[in-house]
Amino acid sequence: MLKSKFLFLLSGFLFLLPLLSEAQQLCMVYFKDKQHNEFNPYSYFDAKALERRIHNGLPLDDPSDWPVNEAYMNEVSLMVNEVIIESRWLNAMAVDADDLQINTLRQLPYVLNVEWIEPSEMNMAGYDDYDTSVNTNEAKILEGQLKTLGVDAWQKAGIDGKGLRIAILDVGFDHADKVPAFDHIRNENRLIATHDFTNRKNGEYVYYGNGHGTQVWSCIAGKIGDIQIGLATGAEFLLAKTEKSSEKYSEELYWLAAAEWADKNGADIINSSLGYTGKRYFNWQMDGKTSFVTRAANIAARKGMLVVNAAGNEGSDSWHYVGAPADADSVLSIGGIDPETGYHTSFSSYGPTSDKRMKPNVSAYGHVIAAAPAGLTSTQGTSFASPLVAGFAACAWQTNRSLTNMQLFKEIEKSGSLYPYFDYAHGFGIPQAGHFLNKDEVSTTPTFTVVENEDSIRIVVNKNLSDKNGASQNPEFKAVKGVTTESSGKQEYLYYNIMNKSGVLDSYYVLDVTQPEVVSILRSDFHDGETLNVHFEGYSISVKL
Amino acid sequence: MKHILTVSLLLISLGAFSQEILLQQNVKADTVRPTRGPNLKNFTYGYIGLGFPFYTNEAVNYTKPGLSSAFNIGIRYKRRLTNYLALGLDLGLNSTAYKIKQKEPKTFPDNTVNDKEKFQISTLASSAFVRINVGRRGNYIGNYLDMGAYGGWNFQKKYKTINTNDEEEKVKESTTQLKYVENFSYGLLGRIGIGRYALTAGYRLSDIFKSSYAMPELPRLMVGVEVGLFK
Repeated sequence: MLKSKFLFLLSGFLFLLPLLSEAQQLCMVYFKDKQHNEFNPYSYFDAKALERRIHNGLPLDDPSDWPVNEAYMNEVSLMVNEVIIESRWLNAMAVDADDLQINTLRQLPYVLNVEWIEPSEMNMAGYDDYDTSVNTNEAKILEGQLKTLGVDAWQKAGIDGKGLRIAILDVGFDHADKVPAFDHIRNENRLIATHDFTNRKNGEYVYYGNGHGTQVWSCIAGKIGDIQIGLATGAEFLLAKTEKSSEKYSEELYWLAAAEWADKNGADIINSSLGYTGKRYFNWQMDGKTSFVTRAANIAARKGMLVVNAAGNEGSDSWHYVGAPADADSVLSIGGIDPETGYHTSFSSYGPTSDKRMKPNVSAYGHVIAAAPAGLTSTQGTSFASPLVAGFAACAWQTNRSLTNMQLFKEIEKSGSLYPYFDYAHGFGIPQAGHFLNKDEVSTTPTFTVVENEDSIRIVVNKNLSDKNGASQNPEFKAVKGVTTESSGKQEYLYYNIMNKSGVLDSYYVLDVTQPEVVSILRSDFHDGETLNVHFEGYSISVKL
Repeated sequence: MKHILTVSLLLISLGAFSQEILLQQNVKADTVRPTRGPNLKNFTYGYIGLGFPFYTNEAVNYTKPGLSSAFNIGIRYKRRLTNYLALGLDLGLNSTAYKIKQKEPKTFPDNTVNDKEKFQISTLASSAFVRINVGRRGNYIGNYLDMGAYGGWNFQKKYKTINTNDEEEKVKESTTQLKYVENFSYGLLGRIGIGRYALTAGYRLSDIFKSSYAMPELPRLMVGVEVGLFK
């Protein structure tokens, strides 16, 4: 009796065990070769894709661009439950297959390897309920989200991202086909293509599911009447749905497929307000080479596209750090700024990457007003800082189309309001239009003095701080970067960091400056080779300790 | 941290600095890879659970279904071996109330029909288990199957009845340190968990009542739910 009951219990567990794993078993089937006889890039690529390759000095006939061998795909597709995507960059197919099918696939002479794709979970910035009215505070945010990025200067120069093609990879674009914020794009036929990678049957229909992508798009190019939400109102767009809320397996595969699609369709910029963190990875795996989507993003960058990605919203969580693919070295990772304070917003994920590279690269407002399916809404997340910078990048690239994607990447970093200062909360700060439009006007007026004594180093600001909240009374104290003139006016912060001899920050601080003498540091506290870097109102200095 | 401490000390000693630190991050202190966490080398967490006796043969069931229950609370240690395998130990308190059916003809534990009647057995128990995780993940508990064994000391053995007398008064009678209840219990356990939540099952191999008293056995199988007390 005892034995039978035990067997009953055990069998119950064994029956329930499969419920622990998902029914689908997604695998990546890598092929040994492509066996292509002929590939005509002129018929395969969009003209803009060809143009970008030529511009970046990339070969037109690159084996990584050859489509996956059709015979291989046909044979494999007959042997599996479902084909999820195929990837020409990885020369692989993602399939749904059981163990027996996987074993059979492994026996195929042209199959290099079969990897099981693990489950993951997308982390997406908050999508708040919309509010049709814009109150005073929201109006201030709406103004600030573009003003900090130099909207007035861009408008004055007639720059609106024209000629640039931006692909948005997102969870869904609910009602984006009807939202008036995109009328100007639709009316001018600048929505080039759409694709739903999450559901093959849907094909091109992406206007359902989740409004996150709608809001993201609006932060790149939204405009309703006189209300401008994003900077790149003149750009062209590709919309790719790569997420579905109930799907926990395929997001990164869809991301890869969408990036390839964007490449094929001539995208110059990819905006991805998506990130993958602790549900799948440990934060020490954020090393720019481990996660699947990070590798895909780096390949996308190698194809000449500027990949802009949200840093992540885990700054207040135990995860703390940027997620994937924001950890990729070739991805422009965007942190979030709090409009109220003008510095890092608490939820914005911090850098550095686990291999100690600086991330995020630059920052923008992490609290924005965006166009939701039924109206303007206040929302927050680095999901929205990223498209603000993607719009900025389109404008910046329009000013100089001779730049390659990585040259533009570096120039955007240089345009940062803190540059050359950086830290792992802000990167180089908020990108400034002036860097691309009026380089000659940049001055280097010292705003503080570093007083070096035998025992200590003091930082003293060169400013009358009696009128702390007002404008500077000192005519010589003029901001050299846009952040003081273009943002919300709360810039009286002193940033300093301690950098070790490897160039990695050991610590960094932001201080509210209320008295001239801001910091005094004992020399005995430092090690040989360390550097003190300080930034205050557009002026940066480094002191070897 | 030492740098900002220096600033703070100067603030105190000189009284001339009153700058507010808005943001500070000590990256250097953050370079040590943690070893404690849901999917790291060591993880300790509390749990609470509720279980119910489960019957396979109603004919020999003397307890009230749904009303008899077991409450568990304890602390669990998990040692990660690989991403898919871990070992664990836990220590907890278990209080099981077997509420006895009062339907006539009543035979257990005697033929007296009471308003309410129960055996309450509280156990200080420890268990060891093997955990098999499904799916690669980050620092998360994930989905798992636990299988193991438990043993414990029945530190409280109580028999309690409640009746109503002629004066419509409630009469509660309680007998503790029951000689006919075993001092120890042991059995097998299993859990299927998804994150902090788990379905649990325990199969008692030991008897509740000493064999010399020839009393029928109460349900051996207990199924229930458990919540892990962690973020």
